[in-house]
Amino acid sequence: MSRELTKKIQEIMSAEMGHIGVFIVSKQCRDLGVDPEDIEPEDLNDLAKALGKVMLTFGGSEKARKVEREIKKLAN
Amino acid sequence: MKLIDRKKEIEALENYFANARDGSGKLVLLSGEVGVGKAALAFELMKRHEKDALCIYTSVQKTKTIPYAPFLNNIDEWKGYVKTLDLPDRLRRELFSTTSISEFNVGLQERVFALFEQAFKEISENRAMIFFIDNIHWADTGTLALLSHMAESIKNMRVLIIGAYTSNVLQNDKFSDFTEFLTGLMMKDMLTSIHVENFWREDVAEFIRTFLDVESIDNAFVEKMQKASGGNPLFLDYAMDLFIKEKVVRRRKRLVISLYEINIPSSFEEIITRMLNLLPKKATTILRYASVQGTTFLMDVLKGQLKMREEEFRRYISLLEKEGMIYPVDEERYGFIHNRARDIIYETCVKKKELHREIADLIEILHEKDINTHYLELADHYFKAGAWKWASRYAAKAGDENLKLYSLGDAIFAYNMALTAQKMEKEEDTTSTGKLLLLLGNTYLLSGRWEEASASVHEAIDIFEKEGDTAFIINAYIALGDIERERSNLNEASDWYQKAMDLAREELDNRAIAKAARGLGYISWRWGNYESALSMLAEAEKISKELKDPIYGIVMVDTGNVHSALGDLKTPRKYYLKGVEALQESRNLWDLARAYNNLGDSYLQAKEWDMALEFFEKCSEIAKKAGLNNFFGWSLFNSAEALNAKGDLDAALTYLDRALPILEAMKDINGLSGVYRDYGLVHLKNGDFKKAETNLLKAMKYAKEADNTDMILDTKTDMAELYIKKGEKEKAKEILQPAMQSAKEMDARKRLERIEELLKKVK
Ligand SMILES: Nc1ncnc2c1ncn2[C@@H]1O[C@H](COP(=O)(O)OP(=O)(O)OP(=O)(O)O)[C@@H](O)[C@H]1O
Ligand SMILES: [Mg+2]
Repeated sequence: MSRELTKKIQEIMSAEMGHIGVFIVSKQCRDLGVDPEDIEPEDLNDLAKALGKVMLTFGGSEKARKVEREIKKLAN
Repeated sequence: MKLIDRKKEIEALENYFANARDGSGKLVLLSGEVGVGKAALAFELMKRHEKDALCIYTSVQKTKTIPYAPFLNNIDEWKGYVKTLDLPDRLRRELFSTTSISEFNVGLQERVFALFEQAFKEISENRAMIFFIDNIHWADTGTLALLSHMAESIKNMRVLIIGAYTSNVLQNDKFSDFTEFLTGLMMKDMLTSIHVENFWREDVAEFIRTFLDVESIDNAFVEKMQKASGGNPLFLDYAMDLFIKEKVVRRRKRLVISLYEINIPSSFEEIITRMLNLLPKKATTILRYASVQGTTFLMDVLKGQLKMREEEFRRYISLLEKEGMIYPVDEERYGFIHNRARDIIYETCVKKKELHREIADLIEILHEKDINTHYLELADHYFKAGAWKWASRYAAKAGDENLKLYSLGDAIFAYNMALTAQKMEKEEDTTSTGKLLLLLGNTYLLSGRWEEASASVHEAIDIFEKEGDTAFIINAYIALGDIERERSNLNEASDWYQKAMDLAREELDNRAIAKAARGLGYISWRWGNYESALSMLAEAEKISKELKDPIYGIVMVDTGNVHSALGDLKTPRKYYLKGVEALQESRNLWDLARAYNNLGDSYLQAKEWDMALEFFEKCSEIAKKAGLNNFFGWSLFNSAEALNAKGDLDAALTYLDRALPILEAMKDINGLSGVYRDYGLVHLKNGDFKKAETNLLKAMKYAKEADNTDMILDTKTDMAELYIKKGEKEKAKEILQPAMQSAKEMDARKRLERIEELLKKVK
């Protein structure tokens, strides 16, 4: 279940960032103290914000908002 | 024209430059869509500091020429600022000497990087520098490696490097080398990027007002322009310029004409087409011919094609320059200012094939002297002309040249082109096709693309077998051994090395015997067959020493590893140090990093933590500069182990947190098992047994996947220790007894001692 969340988040990031997306996800997880192999639904909010922020410097505000929105949606 | 908006972005750049000027240099990237104004931003910064810094602009060209071109084509601009006067010449000599590719050429790339590093250092001792490279997403892999190296090197120099790239390329597979470059920077915590966005509506209005030098502007016009351009400055700039050329608007005249009279273009393509229609016929002809050469073009070749009088030619060139279509790149070349303009013009050309042929022939004649800097262009033009024989010949040469300089992505591109051309030329494959495939396979191997490497080498073997080329077959077997070894498929690797060995002994091919023996020795070590490992490696040592083969340094490190696995503390160091010396000489940085890493490890075993940390630091330094992400990750988690042992648990965890994403991205299962083991060990110390257990289990999973017997044994022993601490002696015993057995089988003294000690506790 939790590994599934990781996969979905990686997919969202890779769709925008390609190969580098996977790395960004596990790095942000580590920075937040979340085990990348074990992401819980309650981690999603922080993670979405963190990944949105990274996205801002690569793809701009529109993509940042999109990524943040899509990740938050995974909580439901 | 003055810069519209961009306050935040300029402020950020100013900050980075101020830091650089104070001695903390940095690489900063600008990202954004085509024409959004990345270059405009960098130019603005350079304009502001043209007095207090040496400002250098260079652009990567979509049409490839030589590796490292963006660093090379501006030497003249900085050569006056270096102390070592012959530095530029030394660089050119290294890069353009016509040595042939034979063995690994890692050393050459390292020498080139060191020279660039020295140049930048000497310049920055003289003056602060802003070095702007545009369009880095098109860079050859060599340039990207150099950029990555320089990012690390300029940390203490007065240098700001700015790189601009189009952000759309990130999702595109064709740019995977570039995204890998970004990932590498991010791993080192060195990725600083500023994203530039299109104009808002107010900025569009201000842009138009500034462009026309008027106070106010018709609102509806702004509206329409905003819609057509999406706020893209390039579109706006070119569209306004077009209106002026079409004489529908004029500068310093408030817009009064009715909007309906202005035909607002719906695409950038339309702007270019309408602009071309306004140019004199001869000028468009020049552009057409130039566009066939590529995004940049050699002036002498262009002139040769046009048969125009010199003076007339010059006149049209300066007209096109004035019209903002082209710009001078260096003494030999001009380039299109906007690549999309070039593409649009190229599309309108007729008889492309003939033109490509004509260009290739002219380059051959006019550039005979430095032909080795034109291989890729020649290959490309002959290819597009359908002249397969020549295309394949030049593409193979371009591949060699790029491989020699370690620009692997371009080498792969060129070899593939050579192979395609050969297939077009003739039905039957020959030895030369096989040789190309083998080179391609080895290049894939060097870039870590195992699947493709294996496929190419297998294809090569089929051809060699048909032709009966034994010497090549042996080399291909060794290549397959290397590929499988790198992929941790030890059984397959062993089979290939053995096949190579049998054949090499038959043929009395000593160099190949040494390589196969090294491969077999390495695998025996990984399997825990230390005795046979030592005898194989001894053979490899003897031969490689006699032949002065660069594999000698590698053999020394391997031999050290076996002694270390046998529980010996001092002997390994002797071998590692011999390895370090040889590897420094051959500049084999990959194995040098390995040697330092293992030296650190031997001090770790000896519980000399500070010495261990020192060597891991050396390993990390090399890894960061050479872009060896795996070693960078390894040195981080090894340092964590030393820190853990020293009792600095927090620092240890920080290092592990940095290492993990790196090794995950590299899919380095050996490394991952190491990291999780260290997490386990830290938590074991912390007393957080639950976390210790989860992490040790993960370590075990990866160790098994990697078939790493040492690691499996170590992790099992750790698990036993955990159970003892938890008071579950039975569970510990269950693990320890079989562990003791395998330690005995592996003749691993140190490990056996640890197990016996733990066993005492459970009795
Ligand atoms: N902030 C700005 N103010 C005024 N003009 C601008 C601004 N930004 C860009 N321009 C103009 O827009 C055009 C395109 O800008 P520029 O070449 O810098 O874009 P780019 O992002 O580097 O494009 P490419 O992706 O094609 O390399 C240029 O003519 C430039 O002068
Ligand atoms: Mg640009």
